[in-house]
Amino acid sequence: MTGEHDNVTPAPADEGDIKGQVFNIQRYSIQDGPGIRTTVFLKGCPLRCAWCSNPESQNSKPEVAHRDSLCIRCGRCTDVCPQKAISTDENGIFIDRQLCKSCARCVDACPQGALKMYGVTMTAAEVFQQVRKDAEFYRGSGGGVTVSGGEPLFQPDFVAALFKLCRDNGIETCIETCGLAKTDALNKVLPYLSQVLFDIKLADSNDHLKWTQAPNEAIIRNLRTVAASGIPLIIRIPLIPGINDTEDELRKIAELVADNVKKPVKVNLLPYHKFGIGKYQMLDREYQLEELDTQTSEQLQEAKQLIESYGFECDIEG
Amino acid sequence: MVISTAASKETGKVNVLTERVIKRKQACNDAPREILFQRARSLTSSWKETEAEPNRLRWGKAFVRVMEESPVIIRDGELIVGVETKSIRGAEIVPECNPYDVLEQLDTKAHRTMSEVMMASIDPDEAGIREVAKFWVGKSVNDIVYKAYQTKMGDSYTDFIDGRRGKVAVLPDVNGTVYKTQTIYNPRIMKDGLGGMIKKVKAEKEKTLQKSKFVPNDYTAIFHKLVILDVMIMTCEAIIKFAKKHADTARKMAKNEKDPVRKQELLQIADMCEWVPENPPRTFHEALQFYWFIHLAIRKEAPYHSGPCPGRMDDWLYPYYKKDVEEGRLTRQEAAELIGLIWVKLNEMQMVSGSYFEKEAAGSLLQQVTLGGVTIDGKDATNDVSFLVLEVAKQIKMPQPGIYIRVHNGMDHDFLVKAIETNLATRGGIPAFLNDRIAIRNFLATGYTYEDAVEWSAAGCLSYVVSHCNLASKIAAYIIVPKVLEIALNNGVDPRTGIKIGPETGDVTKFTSLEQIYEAFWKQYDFFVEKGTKEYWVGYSCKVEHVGTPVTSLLIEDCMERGLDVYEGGERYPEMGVCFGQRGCVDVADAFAAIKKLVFDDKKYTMEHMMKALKANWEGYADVYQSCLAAPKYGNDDDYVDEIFNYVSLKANEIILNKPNPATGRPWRVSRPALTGHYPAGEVTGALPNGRKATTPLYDAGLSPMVGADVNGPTALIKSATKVDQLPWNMDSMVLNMKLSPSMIQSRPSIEKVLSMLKTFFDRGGWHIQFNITSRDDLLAAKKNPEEWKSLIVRVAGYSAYFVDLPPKVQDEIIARTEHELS
Repeated sequence: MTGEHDNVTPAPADEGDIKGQVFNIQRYSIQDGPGIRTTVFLKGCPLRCAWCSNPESQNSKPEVAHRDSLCIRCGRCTDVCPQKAISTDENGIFIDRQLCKSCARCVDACPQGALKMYGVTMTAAEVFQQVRKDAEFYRGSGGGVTVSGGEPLFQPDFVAALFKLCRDNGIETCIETCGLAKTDALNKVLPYLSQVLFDIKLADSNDHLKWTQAPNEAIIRNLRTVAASGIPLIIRIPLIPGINDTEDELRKIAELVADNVKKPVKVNLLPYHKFGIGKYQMLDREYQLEELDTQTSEQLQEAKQLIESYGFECDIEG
Repeated sequence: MVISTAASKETGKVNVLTERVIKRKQACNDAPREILFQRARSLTSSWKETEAEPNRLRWGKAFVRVMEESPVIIRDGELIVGVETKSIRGAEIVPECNPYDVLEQLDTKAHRTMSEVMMASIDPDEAGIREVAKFWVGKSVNDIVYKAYQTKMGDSYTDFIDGRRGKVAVLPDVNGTVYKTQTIYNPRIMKDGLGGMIKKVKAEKEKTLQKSKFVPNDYTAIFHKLVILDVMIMTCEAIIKFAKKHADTARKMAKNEKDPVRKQELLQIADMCEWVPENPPRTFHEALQFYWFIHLAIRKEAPYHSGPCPGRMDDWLYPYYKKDVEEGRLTRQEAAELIGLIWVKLNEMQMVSGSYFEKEAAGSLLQQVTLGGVTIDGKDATNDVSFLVLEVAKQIKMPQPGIYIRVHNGMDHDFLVKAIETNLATRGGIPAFLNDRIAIRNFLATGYTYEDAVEWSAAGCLSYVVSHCNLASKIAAYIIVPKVLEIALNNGVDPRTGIKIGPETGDVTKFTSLEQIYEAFWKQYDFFVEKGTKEYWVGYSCKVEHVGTPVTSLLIEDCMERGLDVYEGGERYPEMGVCFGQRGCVDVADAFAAIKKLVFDDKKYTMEHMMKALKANWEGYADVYQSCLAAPKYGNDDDYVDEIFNYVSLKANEIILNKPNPATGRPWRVSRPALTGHYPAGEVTGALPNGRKATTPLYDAGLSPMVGADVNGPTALIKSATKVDQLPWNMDSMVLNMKLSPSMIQSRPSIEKVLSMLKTFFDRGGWHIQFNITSRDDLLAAKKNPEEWKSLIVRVAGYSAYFVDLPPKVQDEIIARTEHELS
């Protein structure tokens, strides 16, 4: 854990009124579980993976992002900011994150749409209204809703309320989790799940701490809980060049999975990509793995075969 | 990752790109485009000699002369023979329709109408071509129609003609009204062959004469019928003669041929051309050769903008294919090569088009092939030839013909998978998908029998038609709906010219509710639709006499018994396809949504302020402009605007459907044409509250959102497009173009997801959807280095063309379209 705390919200009378921090709702998601899905991205994550491609998901609070290519340097944002946190120069916009209170006045003032707020508070019922819009497409394709993030189990009451609404209305549910959560958080969501996509990043706890800022014992414990629940489970491994895609590391991960999941399980390999770099710039942060390149298809095939040699069904996603 | 499928009806792998097909394809791609006048010269010389004769007989004799003087050429390696012109990619002028385009370019030394995209050279015999074109000045369809419009409409004629350049909101479409529209190949003619047809016509002639001997009769009608029947006979004879000349040529070539293999091929060609089209084809190969002679005859009848459509090829070829394969005469590989050779031939066809049509349908003859659908007993009509045709398209990668799949619930799933794989391979929306159920329902609703309805095929861009009953639909008049809104916002005045062209419907700055603006808009809309519908028959009456269609009248079945040409009421369901075209209903819905949101709901701006911003074309009103752009936009599954779209769309149709066609008393069919006509229509339309800037293109096609505005992905776009039945009954084209990135259809699981989405689209009552499969980077590269991307096919709203042939503005739009990309 890195100083973030689980959201503590007193339970409202109606579960649909439980609020969550959402930063994106993406329809026609086809790589976040079976069929055609709507993916709900939540803010807040206990990990800080060096390769994270959704940096806007990490903090629980809303954050202002700047899209420099749209900026015309008119200075309206600088003028309206009560914190004097924004400056502009020929390179674009800079926001002093220590000063910014995410009041969004700059977003409203921008005539170009060059400032954008990541993170909006929505009730479970409001998110459900968005999710149900594609219900016809889920039914036809065997899809449903996936909650991703950030970490879905970081807002367990909200996710449980949303999933209950979905299940009551015949919509299948899924989480894409990093696995790090308190046991009771997992237990709140588990009864409403149709599918779990569970990330395993590194087998060795010290390495895990080094690259994600957290050890992995709790993650492995949760993996066992999910596996024991009998809910369909897919293990996802984001392949990070040189960090966990070497033969040695992949073997360790495969052994870890084999030791803790006592039934046939699918493994998805996620090739490395750097599509998130732009978002780091928009948030005035630095991306540390800029020099890495995505795996070649030969490398991916080798990794696939290696995983399969442990008796797992394995696909390359994306 | 590409998954290969072992399809149930697909019986084996084939290589379409044989040495022979590659050679023909290369020759086609390398041939320069040339503008020629051989047909025009033949037609004109005949016309000069037949002055006092009955009109239909003149057209018949002219066709005979054209066929007699047509070049007979068998090109290297060809197995199916017959050419349209002496050049591989020659385009014939059509001076009897319009001599002015060619005369004008003779003066400017460059073919203006083709210059931007085609760079065609002109026949070196300039004096000859000028003489032929000049003969038709004052006599051409163009002259006659304009004269009629002038007599009929007096002063407003000027407005109308200038209307083609955009002074008014409704345009008579001279192309659609008076020029010949598309003929679809009617395979039923293969049953008797043209020889059998001649016998039938002679019997009909005998019967008619017998009847008129004893029964008092309308002798004018009898006389006319006899003319029509005589023309049918001479038309059949001319085509048979043309075929036999190929037999002679092939025999002569065989005599001198050293290569024994080619010698044998030439002898086989001779044998075939001696037999078809006079007699019914005996083999798959002969069926294709039969069809090709008819295709050429239709081209020679009038080589205007739209080529003939091969129609339901899988359906009419399959019996020959099956028999030949079963009896060991044909392999799947040989069939693939023959179809491949036809594909090359279809790409050889060229057109000389008027300047307006060039913008309307840049670079395509719209020769459409239809696959799938249902049989008369409701079974899936998909067969091995359906798979074979897709395989040909997949491998050959040429822009013509377009392929349309009649999708229904019982369709072979493997066939649909192959269709999506073909989309990926061609990267150009070949094939596109149509809702079989809706077409059949709408035919039944407009009085077709089930037997006829079930045989429908695709045509144009995109109408649906039954080949033995009707010509493809034609657009008689266009209404530019956003222009109507602009005129309504300006109290009847077109701000572009300052001329008052509509009724006074009130000063919008004084209006206090959205309903008042709607009311003003509908008054203007009704006014212009009325103008368009009333004045259409002027063009219609001209068409009856001044377009020659002897071949088409032979193919459409009731012409013979009725003794009428296809344009005189010989169609089984006369004039069913006459359409009133609309453009820009989505643009207008977005504009109303912005007015509702910003002026009446949020009260952010007054109507007066909005009008000032529009008049200034947003100059100095950046905030209003941004607010208008940010207002709800169609394509995002947002009820706020989608409900407005449904209201505008349905009411706009209803107003047209309630005005009968003065020529037939039947209701007009409504069409939202696709093609590229949103450019000329956009050029004459000013700024509007949807955030459009003056003179920019309108949204393309009938159901496309504002470029880049559909940010919620493909399912949201599909929902916006199908919240109500957009094709209730008497409707024509209504296309949803959707761009998919290659990554969305690269694996079998993702193909299944696209197919599931497609099925939901059709279940919700969608009519026509096509996918553009291209990455943005590809297109940028193609724009920059056209040489390296010569084979990249792109489909723009209902047709496909080589990307590098498209004008830069069209390229830019394709690049700008939202890519429903996954991260």
